[in-house]
Amino acid sequence: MKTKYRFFACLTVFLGFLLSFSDLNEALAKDPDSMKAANFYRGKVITSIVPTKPGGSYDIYARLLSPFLEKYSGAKVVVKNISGGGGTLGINAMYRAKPDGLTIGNLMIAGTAPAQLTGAQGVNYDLLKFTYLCRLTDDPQVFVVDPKSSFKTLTDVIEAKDKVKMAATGTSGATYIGSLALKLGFDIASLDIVTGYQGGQDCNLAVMRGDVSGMVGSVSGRLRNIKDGDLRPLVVFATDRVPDLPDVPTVFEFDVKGERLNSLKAFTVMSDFARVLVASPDIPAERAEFLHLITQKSMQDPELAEFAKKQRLEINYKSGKEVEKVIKEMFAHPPEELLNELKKIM
Amino acid sequence: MIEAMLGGLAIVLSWPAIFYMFLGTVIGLFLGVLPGIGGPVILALLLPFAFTMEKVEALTFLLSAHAVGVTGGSVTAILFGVPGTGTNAATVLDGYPMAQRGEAGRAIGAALTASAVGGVLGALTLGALIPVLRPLVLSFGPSEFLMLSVMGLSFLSSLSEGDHLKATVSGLLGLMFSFVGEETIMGTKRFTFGQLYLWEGVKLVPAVVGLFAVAEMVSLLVEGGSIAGKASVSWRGGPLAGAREAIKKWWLVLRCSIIGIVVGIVPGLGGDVACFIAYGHSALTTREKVKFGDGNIDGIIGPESANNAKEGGALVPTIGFGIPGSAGMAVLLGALMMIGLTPGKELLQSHLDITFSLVWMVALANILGVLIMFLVTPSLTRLTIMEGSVLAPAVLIVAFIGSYLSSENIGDMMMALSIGMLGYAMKRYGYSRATFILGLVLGKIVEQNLFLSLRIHEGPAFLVTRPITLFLLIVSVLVLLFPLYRHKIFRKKTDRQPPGMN
Repeated sequence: MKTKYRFFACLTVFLGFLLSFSDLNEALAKDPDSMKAANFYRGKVITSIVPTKPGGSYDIYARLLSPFLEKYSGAKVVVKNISGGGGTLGINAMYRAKPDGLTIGNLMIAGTAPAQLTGAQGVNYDLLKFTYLCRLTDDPQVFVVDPKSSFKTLTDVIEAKDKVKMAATGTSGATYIGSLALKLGFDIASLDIVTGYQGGQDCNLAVMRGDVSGMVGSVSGRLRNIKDGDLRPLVVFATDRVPDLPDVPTVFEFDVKGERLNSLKAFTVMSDFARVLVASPDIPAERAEFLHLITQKSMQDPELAEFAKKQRLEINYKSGKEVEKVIKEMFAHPPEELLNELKKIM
Repeated sequence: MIEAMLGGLAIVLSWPAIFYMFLGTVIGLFLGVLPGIGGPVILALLLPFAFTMEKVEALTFLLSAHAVGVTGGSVTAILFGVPGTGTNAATVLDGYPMAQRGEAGRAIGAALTASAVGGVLGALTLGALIPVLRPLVLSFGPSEFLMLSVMGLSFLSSLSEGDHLKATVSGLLGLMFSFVGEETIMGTKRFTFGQLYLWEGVKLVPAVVGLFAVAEMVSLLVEGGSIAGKASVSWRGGPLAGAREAIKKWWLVLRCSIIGIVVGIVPGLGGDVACFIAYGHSALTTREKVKFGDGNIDGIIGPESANNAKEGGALVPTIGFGIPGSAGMAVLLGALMMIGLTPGKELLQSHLDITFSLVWMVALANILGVLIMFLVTPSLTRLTIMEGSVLAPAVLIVAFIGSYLSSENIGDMMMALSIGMLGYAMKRYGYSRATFILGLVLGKIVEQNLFLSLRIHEGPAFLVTRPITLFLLIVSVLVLLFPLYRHKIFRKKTDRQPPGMN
């Protein structure tokens, strides 16, 4: 099968050369260092590590991107799935790969930043040292409840007398950290997080069935159910309102200050810079520059946008420099209260 | 409704959709034969091709490949004890012993026919359920999952006939193995010995490959000869005889298909569970004289019917809520959206013909897949009379690659090897490998859903207050006690049957 897939990829590369390589060449010609990097990559093999099994969202993004990276780099991109340890094994592998710029990978900030900040077991990477290539997409999070419940606004939940149960997967996933941010940010003592569901989608069903009152999860994974009237959105974790849910307020529209605000901010950053593409740390500057250039070209390729749209995958580019800046900021002012809560359960 | 059904059929039978169905089926079958490559991997590999196709063609191509992925895997499960996917694991338990008796043809025939009938039944049930899809999915929560898996565990009692003590010991050992890894509730790592690989626990494919393929190939090499060596290779009935038998046992096929469909509908239980519950159920009701685990044909027919039927069931939450029941369905969901269809209310109301075309695709792909496999079976069964010293190394290589492919981690191969040694010892000293696997598969699910149920319902009262849970609880108790009364119940019935029925 792989050969057929490669045939398809090669075809894309070939057409890509015809269409746009001349344009890239022009840009490179102005800069001898980039020219050196371009020569280095031509004909080489770039390994794109996916920290989960084939078929998941990490995998789909990697496979979506790889023909375009091939097109602009002239290298061959091989997707390699290294799963295990809840993604930690794959991310560790990205981190300790040889610093030659031939290993890239995609990871999620919500899954890695809290793990590193709380010193979780098995973490052998340092998010401050990765070479950030770009943000693939943001993934704004939303707090949803059962529309049959009496909760119409966030205030209803804050003022609730009884326990408000929240569905979550494990204690290290975004569903848990999101619920925790909600609890700490709005000081909702009655919020009770039930862990053990198998995935975000499973949590959706738990809310619809009435197992629990609500959950925090990505807008993209809940939009269908919200549109069908199966889930009611109360608040989104985003700096600005989410275009898909224009009537839903953001957490920052409420009056929250101090450490409580920091909890909300931290989780918002994690969802705002949700999915990023990295290369291993300490790669030569001109190769990092070249990788930045080709990821930008790939991400802004109209054909990629079309493919992504076909699969309804969100694509929302931001440069690697911006990602790096935000992550440095988060590590400089870590959300202490949130981390303490996470450490308690570890 | 009828209009939509016919409209759906027309979509599938139109040119070139039917060609893509054929193509998808063939690719799905042959990729499914390779161990470790199951539905989701097949879909992930084929997805890039689908971009270049027209919408309906793409969907036909992907769904057919996915639907028959498990059919191919059952062939290697029977011939060499190497399951293609986790869901084929139950087929190994009795399929491989049949191959050893020189009845590989009969076993494959029965497995394929049961697959096809189960697949078609699954699809038809899906069709019939379309009006009530949504309430149905919502009526199964953690407490029902819990009791479904407890019911699965209660089948231990029927599987353990013969040496009860040894079978129970292996069942408990399986349960203990299921506790390895990161538990999902508090994220505690148990028995991981600092190895990140063990966080995901003892995975099914490496475990089954070790327990059966490795153990059997080692014993083949130790004893010499060929797989079917000791049997007089009279080929007691070929594939067609097996097929006839499966059809004659339509009632068993139907019951196990229903098990498959129900488990398929419930997102989060996973297909492996369906096959093992069906296996346990077959053990409970079998009237064959051959012991379970020694090559009882009911032990193949049961899980294989459930196997393909569950794919129809898994489409239910995918279509009804856009919530995929399995990893494969998640990829398929992407494909549905790629062709501009939004699962949920929209698909059930404004695109009912497309929804039905999905049903037809699953049904027709299953039939087509089985027909193709029937053509190649006779030559494949000859492998069982091949000299072990030639065959075993080849099978072992394929088996190890298979377990490696399931996560591209070297740990999988070491796991397969270690469990292989355990499996060989269990085989030598007569400990049931079937109960071990049952414990391994169900242990984690029981634990997780017990915890969830207790948290959600705040105490154990859910056992009696939720009707489906209560019903399943009663069934489990009856199943547990059944072997005590089995002889009384069945003696009367079997007496009435004319000799030769079995």
